[in-house]
Amino acid sequence: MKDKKQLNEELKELSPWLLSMKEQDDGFKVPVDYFDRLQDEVLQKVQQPTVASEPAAPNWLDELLERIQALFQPRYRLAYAFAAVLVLVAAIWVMNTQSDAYTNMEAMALEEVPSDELLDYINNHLEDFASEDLIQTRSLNDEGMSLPQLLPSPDDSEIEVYLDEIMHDIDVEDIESFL
Amino acid sequence: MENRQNDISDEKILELMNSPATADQGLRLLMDKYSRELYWVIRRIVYDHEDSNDVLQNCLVKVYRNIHTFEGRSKLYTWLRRIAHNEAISFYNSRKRRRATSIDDEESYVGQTLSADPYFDGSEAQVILQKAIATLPDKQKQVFLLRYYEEMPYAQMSEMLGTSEGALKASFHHAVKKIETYVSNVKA
Repeated sequence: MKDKKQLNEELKELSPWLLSMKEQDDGFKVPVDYFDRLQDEVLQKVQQPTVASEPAAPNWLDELLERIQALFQPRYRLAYAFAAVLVLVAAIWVMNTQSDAYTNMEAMALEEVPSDELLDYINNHLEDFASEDLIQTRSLNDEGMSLPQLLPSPDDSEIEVYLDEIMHDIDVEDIESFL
Repeated sequence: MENRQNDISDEKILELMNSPATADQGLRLLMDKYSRELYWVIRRIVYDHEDSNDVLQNCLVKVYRNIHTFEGRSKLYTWLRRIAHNEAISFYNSRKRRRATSIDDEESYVGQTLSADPYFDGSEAQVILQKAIATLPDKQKQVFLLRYYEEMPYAQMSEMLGTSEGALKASFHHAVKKIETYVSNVKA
């Protein structure tokens, strides 16, 4: 049952443009004898075995690709951007927390090492430290001590032996060149 | 010359289709009576003729195989139309997903489909109208298509969709206003 008259009245009031469009050819066409051929084609399909005539089951890969494509539709992009920002902020926070924790742990571990052992280590690996760091080593032992005081202090006999060695190695000519 | 069996009753078609010996004859009569209406239900949603043909054939095969599940609580055409509508919507959505088309691209999708279809030669105004219809929300679009193209009375539509006549009328009016706005924006 059609309701053309009532519809036309309705459209005349609501949208004369839509009414005029309805009176024109809408442009949709079908091939000649399409509906006659359709019957034969459908009957041929239904006479085939059920499995063959059913549309092929969607391949799991196609379904997966479809789902992935659907996820990249623009309406989801804002949500992804927001989630990405959240993950980034969380990652930075976690990294900072862990970094502080490691620093604290390192400091605690160093506190347990005796100062003279630390100084021995530094003396044996002087080339591994920057000058600025070496200057700061004073704080490892005694706040009031200067760097020379932290270095090993030889006794008098050791100094005499060291000076004899120097005197032995040095030439008279070298001494004259200093004068 | 066409010899459509529009006068044959639904009861007769069902009786024939429910018997294995006469099922094919019943299907032929069903197609005689309803295939044109079902085709246009599908074509208004899918746009392209070849795609509409595929969807309609699948729909008729499903009807043939599942006719025993029709309980007669609604009219046969209502049941057939619901199957055709669902098949068409599923096809359209799946095609859109494959093309990664968003809601914003509905118009370009419709424009491309119509321009590629050799069985569409509508005017520019008709293309604009189809694009405008494509931008409607699903329910509003369904109501608009039923009323505008199928000229279905609100009472029948209410029975089919389970929505009050007042709500359907309001929905159609909103759809018309949206289309008017779309068209005036395009023209501006």
